[in-house]
Amino acid sequence: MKKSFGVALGILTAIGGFVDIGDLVTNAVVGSRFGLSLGWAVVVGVIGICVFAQMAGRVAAVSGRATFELIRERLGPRVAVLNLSASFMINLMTLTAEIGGVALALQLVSSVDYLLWVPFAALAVWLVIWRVKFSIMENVAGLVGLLLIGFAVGLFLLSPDWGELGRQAVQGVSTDTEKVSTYWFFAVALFGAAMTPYEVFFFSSGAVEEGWTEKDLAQSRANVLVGFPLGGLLSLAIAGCAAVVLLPQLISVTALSQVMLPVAMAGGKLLLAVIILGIVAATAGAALETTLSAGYTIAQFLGWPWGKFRPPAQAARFHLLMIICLIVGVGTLLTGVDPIQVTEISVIFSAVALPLTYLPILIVANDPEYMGEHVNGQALNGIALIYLVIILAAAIAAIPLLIITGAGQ
Amino acid sequence: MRPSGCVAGLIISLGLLCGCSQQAAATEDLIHALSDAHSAIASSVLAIELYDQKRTTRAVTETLLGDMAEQMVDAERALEPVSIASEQTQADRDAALAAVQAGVAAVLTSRDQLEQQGAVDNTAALESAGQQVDAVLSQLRGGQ
Repeated sequence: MKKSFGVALGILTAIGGFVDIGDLVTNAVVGSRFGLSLGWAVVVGVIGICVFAQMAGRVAAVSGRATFELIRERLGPRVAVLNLSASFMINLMTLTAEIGGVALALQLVSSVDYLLWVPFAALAVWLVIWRVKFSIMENVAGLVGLLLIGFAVGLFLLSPDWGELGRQAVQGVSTDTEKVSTYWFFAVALFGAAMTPYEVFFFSSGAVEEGWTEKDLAQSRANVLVGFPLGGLLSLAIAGCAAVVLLPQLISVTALSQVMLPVAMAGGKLLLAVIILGIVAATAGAALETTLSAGYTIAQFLGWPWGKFRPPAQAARFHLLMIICLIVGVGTLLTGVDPIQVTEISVIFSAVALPLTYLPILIVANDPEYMGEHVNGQALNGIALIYLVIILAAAIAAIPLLIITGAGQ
Repeated sequence: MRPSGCVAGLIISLGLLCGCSQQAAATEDLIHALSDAHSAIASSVLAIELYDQKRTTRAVTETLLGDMAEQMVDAERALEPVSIASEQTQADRDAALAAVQAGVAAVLTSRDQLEQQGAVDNTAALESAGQQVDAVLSQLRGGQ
């Protein structure tokens, strides 16, 4: 009974924790401009994150050590520092975007300018990391983030022409205003948003925080293989709401407040309140995860004591590093940079860093010295190799597409 | 044909090509700014309608109108540096600028009314600005 409850809780938190500001914004933007014609990119991204997250979780559960420690040990400090630099910078950018997302969501509740909320959001993140138990932190953020299911409810309440949505997903949307390069820019952005590197680092380090062993492999798989795809459906629901209400009126999403229009139309104030609470939880949860991931990556690379399972005094450098990252994030946002633009850029740069993140995980997951009998099977390696090709293509195309399209303008 | 004639022909062709591509780029910039303006005005009208129907909150509507006012101002700024290569481009830019400025005024007025009175009197000015933007937009798209 207790085990079933644990599995169910893990799946629910994985669903609620899947959507972050990157998924929210990118899916809403894409839905308002391309309808569901880029739904395939979400599906490809979700399958990819499932493949590599379950691999990272298995590595952590079997070896009892987080991915980054093993990458450094297995590939040496020179290769690991490449991985570290790329992942850390993307993570910092994502952290900035998530704090901006919390502040924007709080502005929707209060109409107080989001810039005034930014320091409070960062302070709240630090307090939670400092004081709250890992499992409580993860479960509360994930479960409240589950309120984003309101987008799926909203989509049903809008009574869309399902046939038309299906046609968009299969045949695409004919639009005179969008270019082919912009279409592919957003395909890469959606892929990057679904496969954001911090998710894997957090998943792997979280497994060590919670003391997972080989006995927990089934739960780890269930969390990833059931929770993440259902989270991906939420992403599609966000795009669907925008496709039904905003696309026909030629409204392109540039602000979080516009994402609320289909929700208000579908379910009025009640659904709006549910969704805003869900957005606060999802972005705050992702801010916690990215802050912790910043600490995890550097501390694991440098061999510092890390983890929330240790009292802060025993992992002082780990905690100090997270505080510095939060200050950098807040400082960046207070310059007045648009959090939505930070989000859009961060998902594109995520795509650039993907090969550096996922190739080492694949190498470690195939090393019998660490994995024993739990090394990757042939089928999984086949899928992972196909994904490495896709990841490489996305990484190569990301920056040229960013420049050609002026960041999707 | 003498070599000097070839060179002159080449220069004239290049000049015409550059002129055409400059005009096309200017039209593209105008369309982009007007599309942003259309999106901002349509969002504002929809948000006010939903607020009147009590389907959304004042905070969300105020935030949206503030966001859209910024987007309109950005669209207006984007029109200013558009280079004028011909009288036609100048006429197009002036029409676009007038439409977007009407939109900026309408969105700002709506936002201020909501902040001060808790309601927007009517959306007539917004709708009129929206029609103005759409008219210039379809004219430019038709000419492409």
